Amino acid sequence: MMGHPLYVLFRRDLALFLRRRQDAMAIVGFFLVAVALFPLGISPEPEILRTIAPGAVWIAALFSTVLALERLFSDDLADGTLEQQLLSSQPQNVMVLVRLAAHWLVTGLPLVLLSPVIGLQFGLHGEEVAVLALSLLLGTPVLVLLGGIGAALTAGLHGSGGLVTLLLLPLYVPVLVLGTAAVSATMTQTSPEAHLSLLGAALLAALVLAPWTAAAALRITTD
Amino acid sequence: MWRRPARCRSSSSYRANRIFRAQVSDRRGQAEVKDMSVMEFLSMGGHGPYIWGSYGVMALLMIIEARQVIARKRKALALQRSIGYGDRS
Amino acid sequence: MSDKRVQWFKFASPGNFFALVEKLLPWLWAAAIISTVAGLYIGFFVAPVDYQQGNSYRIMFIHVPAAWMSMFIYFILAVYAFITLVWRIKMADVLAVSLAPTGALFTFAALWTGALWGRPTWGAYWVWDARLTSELLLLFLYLGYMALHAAIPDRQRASRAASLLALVGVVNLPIIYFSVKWWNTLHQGASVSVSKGASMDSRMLAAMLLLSFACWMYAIAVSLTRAQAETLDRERGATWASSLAAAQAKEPEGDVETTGEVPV
Repeated sequence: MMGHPLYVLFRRDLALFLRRRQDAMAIVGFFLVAVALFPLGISPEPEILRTIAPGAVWIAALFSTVLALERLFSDDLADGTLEQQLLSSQPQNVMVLVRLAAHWLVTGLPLVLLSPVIGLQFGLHGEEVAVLALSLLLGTPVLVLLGGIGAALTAGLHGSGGLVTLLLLPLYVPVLVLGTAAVSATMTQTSPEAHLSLLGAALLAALVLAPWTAAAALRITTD
Repeated sequence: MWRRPARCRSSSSYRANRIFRAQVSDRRGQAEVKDMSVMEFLSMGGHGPYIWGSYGVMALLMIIEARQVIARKRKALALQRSIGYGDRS
Repeated sequence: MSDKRVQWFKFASPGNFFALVEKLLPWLWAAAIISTVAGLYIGFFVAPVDYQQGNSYRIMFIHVPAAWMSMFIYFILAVYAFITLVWRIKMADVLAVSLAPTGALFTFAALWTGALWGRPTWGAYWVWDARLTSELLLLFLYLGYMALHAAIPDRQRASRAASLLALVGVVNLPIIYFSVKWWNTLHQGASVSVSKGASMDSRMLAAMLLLSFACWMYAIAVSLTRAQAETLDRERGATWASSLAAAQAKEPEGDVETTGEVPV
């Protein structure tokens, strides 16, 4: 298990992230700044803060994970390791899944862990904070998985900027809607079960379909 | 709404004003024919701006697109003639 | 193999495609214009005033065709995208790229006319319900497809990447279509369905169907013209293109023998 190629790949990605620690911290920093901008830009009134809390946290999380994703494959494409990885005997979609998992651990998981603190800052209470964290726990992996497709398609393009976001917006919106609706439902004393179940289903579907699609996209990019 | 005075009704001007015979349904959905003037037609019972705004924008978009596409094709053909015909004299 | 099979693939050749479209175009435009005139006449002079909505319902005659076209064109685009990815037929990519702007136009038109219909009827230009939002997302799908295709310099990679994106976005179509059934919100339910027939006045239905047909003919005409231009742009040096240019250049002189000759 220790020497298994996929595990090595996983550790390599993590090591790369941790080596450039400032990149990972920049993403978390971006998230915190973005979240802080909402009360500053809209209104610091407690009641309004409670209303915008789910949306603000989710939107900030969405932008953080996506912006980090854009460079995921570009660097490896540039120095040729991407082609080598695709040529290896490991199944390509599992390889992509492993890389996206490493990416999520570094960019998505910190957001999930920070969200309770931010939730409390926005005036959310016990159960609402828990649902917020849970929705992010289910939703950010989906965002990363879908974003992997976009990153694979646009790898190596100059000035692609927010292209990945534009391309994937139609797929992100349902996830965003489900995530925020789950928290809003809790805030109005309705059960968030339906929304969270749908998020879970989306996660399962993404786990199966996204790596395969991203691998196909990578093959197109390196062809 | 401006209407011509009754005594000025010559046959042609009368027809000009009553060009539009539109069907109006009453509450039971029965159709009855009502004559309306051009102004009435254009105002569409008050909904004029919305209706003409919709049809107008749609027509405009389609005309612009059609013209742009035909112009692009002509340009491509002209370019083709200038480079492709040169060695076929 | 039989001759029939060869014939279809004949039009995968750009030269034959160009010639075929040249012959079809006048008929398409004629059909579009005639059905537009007929549809508008019935829509404004024959169809009665609705006792609930007054005259504003007449926007439906272009709103529904625009919405249908926006979805239908995307579906066709996805089919061509699939063909591009799997069989790498270049003409399929040409057709997909040519369809996208027209599809985006109809999507925008559906949103615009829907907003102008919504205001007098239900009081709101826009609500964030499932159907309107997914139609808006459809517009972004079209724009994303065009943006990705344009952003990648290598044409082969561009066509394959954009095709993959288009296929990923196809899941949006059933959401738009069924959203009215799944979520009970502002947008009204379907009044025309294949199985149950229409639940509206037959004169209104006639106008709507005529204008749908008109939009369809228009969309085909415009997309095929764009495809012709795109084909020429891509195949500048090809033999058929030079011959075509030569034949066209001779036409103004009234030279009868050389018109319309395109090598097969």
